[in-house]
Amino acid sequence: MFALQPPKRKIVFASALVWLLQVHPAFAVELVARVVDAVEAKVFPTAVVQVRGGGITQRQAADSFGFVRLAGLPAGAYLLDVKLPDGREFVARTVLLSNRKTQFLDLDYARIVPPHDDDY
Amino acid sequence: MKTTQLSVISAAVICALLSHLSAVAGPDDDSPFRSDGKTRNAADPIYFGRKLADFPMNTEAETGLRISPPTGTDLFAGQRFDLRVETQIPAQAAPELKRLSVNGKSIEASFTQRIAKQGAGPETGTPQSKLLYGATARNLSFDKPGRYEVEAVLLVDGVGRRIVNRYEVAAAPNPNVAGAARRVVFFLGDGMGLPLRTAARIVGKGASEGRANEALAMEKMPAQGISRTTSFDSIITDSAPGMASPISGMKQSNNALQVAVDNTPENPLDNPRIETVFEYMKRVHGWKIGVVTDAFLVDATPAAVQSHNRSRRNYLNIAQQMIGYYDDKTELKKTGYTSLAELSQPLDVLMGGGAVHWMSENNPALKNFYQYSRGGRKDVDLMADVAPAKGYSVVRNLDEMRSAPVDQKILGIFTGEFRSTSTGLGGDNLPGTLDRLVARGAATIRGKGANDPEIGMNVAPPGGTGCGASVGDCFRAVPMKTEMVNKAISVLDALSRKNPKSNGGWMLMVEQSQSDKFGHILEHERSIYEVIELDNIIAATAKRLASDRQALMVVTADHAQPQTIIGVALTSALVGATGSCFTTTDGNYPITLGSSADKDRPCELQDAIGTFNDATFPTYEDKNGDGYPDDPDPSIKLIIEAGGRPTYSTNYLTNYQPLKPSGSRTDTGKMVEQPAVPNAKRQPEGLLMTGNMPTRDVKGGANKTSGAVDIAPHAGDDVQVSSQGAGAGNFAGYYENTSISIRLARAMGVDKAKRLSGAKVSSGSVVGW
Repeated sequence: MFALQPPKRKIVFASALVWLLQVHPAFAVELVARVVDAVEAKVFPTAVVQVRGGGITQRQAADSFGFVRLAGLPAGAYLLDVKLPDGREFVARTVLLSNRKTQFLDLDYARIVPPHDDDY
Repeated sequence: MKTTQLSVISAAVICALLSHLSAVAGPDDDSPFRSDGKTRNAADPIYFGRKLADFPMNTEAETGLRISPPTGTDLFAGQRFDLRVETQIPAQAAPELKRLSVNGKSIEASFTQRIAKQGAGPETGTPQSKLLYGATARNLSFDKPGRYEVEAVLLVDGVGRRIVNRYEVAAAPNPNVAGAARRVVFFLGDGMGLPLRTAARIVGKGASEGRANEALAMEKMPAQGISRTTSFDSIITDSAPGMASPISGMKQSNNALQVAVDNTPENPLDNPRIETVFEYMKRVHGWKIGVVTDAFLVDATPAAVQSHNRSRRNYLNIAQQMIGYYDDKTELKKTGYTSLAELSQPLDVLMGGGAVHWMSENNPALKNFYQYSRGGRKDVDLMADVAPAKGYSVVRNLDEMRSAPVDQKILGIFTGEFRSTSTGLGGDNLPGTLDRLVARGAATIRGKGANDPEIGMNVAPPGGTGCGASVGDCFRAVPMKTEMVNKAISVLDALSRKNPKSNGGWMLMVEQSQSDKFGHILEHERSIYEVIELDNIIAATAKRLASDRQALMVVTADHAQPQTIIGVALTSALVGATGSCFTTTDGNYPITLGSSADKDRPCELQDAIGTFNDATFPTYEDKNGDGYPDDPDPSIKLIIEAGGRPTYSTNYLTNYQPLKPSGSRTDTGKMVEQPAVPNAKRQPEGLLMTGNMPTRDVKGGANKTSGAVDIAPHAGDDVQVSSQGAGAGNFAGYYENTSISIRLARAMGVDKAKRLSGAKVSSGSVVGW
């Protein structure tokens, strides 16, 4: 019969718990992001957002109001590659916390790209 | 299972959980860099060890439900704000407002009626998506001081979602109370961190046997405090929230002017707004208000006094707000912005640069007088037509300013730094203090004056001779700031005495902008002259208002710059060592070593710096007694360096003209900044200072900033607040910059009976429906 010694049992138990928190749907986080430019007053429908991190890559185009929903992401740090409809690209980052089912992120081009020469 | 076993397992689980939460995902997470050794790893704990600004606001977790003003906003009774309730995350069906209350009393009916009256659109800030909720009731206020809790409950996809914001509301200012300030000058040294104050003292006042010969006027002020400058969404503020937050009490996002963020990013004018102290005093007490700056007038600092816009770059719109001009045929529409017109109080005094935001593109003076080769408004000429019709006297130079009547509102727009051989400041901003002094013959740069070719002033202006026969003539016609402030005070005084409601009350904001702008391009000597000019204005204003027991002066900064004093140098040694170091050649990087013969001493410029025991006192002189050093490079000069910077080279000598620090190239007709390459036209044989600012978009990297930063950044340091006069004691302490608004309100008079004692729940409510 397969049996683990107590120290190994603890390790397996802890590992299982960590695995559960990372990938089980009940513990996964949904990231809702909106692709905008707050300075130029624009939202970007059809912008493409790719999220990367923890071996996961998801890609989605924004809806007509600039939103993307990326579900089933384990808590952790991610990079978001954003491609605007006009071809401009930028990279954002976020941390998803395990204590929230949904997290919101403004992917604001104006925040991520440094200001215009006059804007200091 | 035994208790000990449980404990061990629990500990293991907790450790695992903690590591899970604080660490990052991915196989290559252990190293801060990817395998190429260069690209920063997404998982680098330097970046990701803490929560970032996903939810920078007090929000309900699953819907992003939020209330504006943000929780904790420093308000005073009667101060107008917009009350907005919104969700950030789209639901499956349209969310519904179920409850809105203040201190437990429902205001939902009033709110709903108000929203219906305003109608859908910009007045209400209606989101385009029906799956988002968003409604703003405009221009409300709390009627009494005390503690308030605003609670909102929304039904979102069948679930009740709740959010509570809390505010401690101070008493309203009442200038009729004995001892209240009635004339207020708010000095804002842009980017003026403590090192710049110190440098201005050392350079401007000198020292003997270790003691300053004299303190700066701002140092002599009896009350000193320190304020924290972080913005709503960044530890490094830009100048928009850096000025906006202290005079309204609301922390704001970078780029925002007197508004909170909202879920309608497509319209920067419909965001929930907040009233500034300036606007309140004009609206309620009839005070006159003004701004004087050496930046372009619609720049963030002056604009923050009474303009409301999510985008500080909306210059044409802001210019109209500044003089209160709303017209559906122009950038600032009348339709949909009634509440904005009711809130934003036009300025009575405006002085600064940037004619291009005020004049029609068809106005020939734009090129001939102001030297703009292109640009200008397409909709209206505010300077030629609107401002005079609204009763402003419009002035363009020192003589016109001097002769303008004091009992009339004034709009002064002066010539900018348009030298084609200068880079980094630009024609929107007035020439720097040092450059104006050189033009007037009151200073030289290593002995060179306005007639020397290196200075670039003894040539005809490129756009025509409207402002003068030479660049120097044009610069001489730009007033010094002291002259501008003097005139501004005279006008405000006269106007406020003419108006019985004002009863002599006025507020003036004076911005020293170039202390920041020159810091950005690492022209440290010029930054110091700017702070000296500010201090001279403070001294002159203190003298003028000395007998006025109801005058208050407050001096602070919106943020610091990353400058610090590192020592001194013999100017002759700097000149001698130049070229013995590195050589920057245009287009070639890295540079070549200048004295490779001595491997231990490849750069003699480093040896020219005197520090520790060798940092003797500099030898700046003011022989003409005008309050400024006669030359920024005396025999021994102060040396300043910046902690944040693009790559540049320096021999620590003052440039004859302002020059941008790093290089640029033209790529398929477009200018591309190169922050990793020094500007080969600026001290190319100087000491190479390698940059630490982002250079290019690093696709695939974790670089938060996707573009080039070709200047020194702002610093996240706290800044000094100095004050003198009626109510000055209110500014002592260590506080958030938003607290300055409340401290100003207190200084402008608070009835003893209305003083907030502790944090009592207020018996008041929201009014203004």
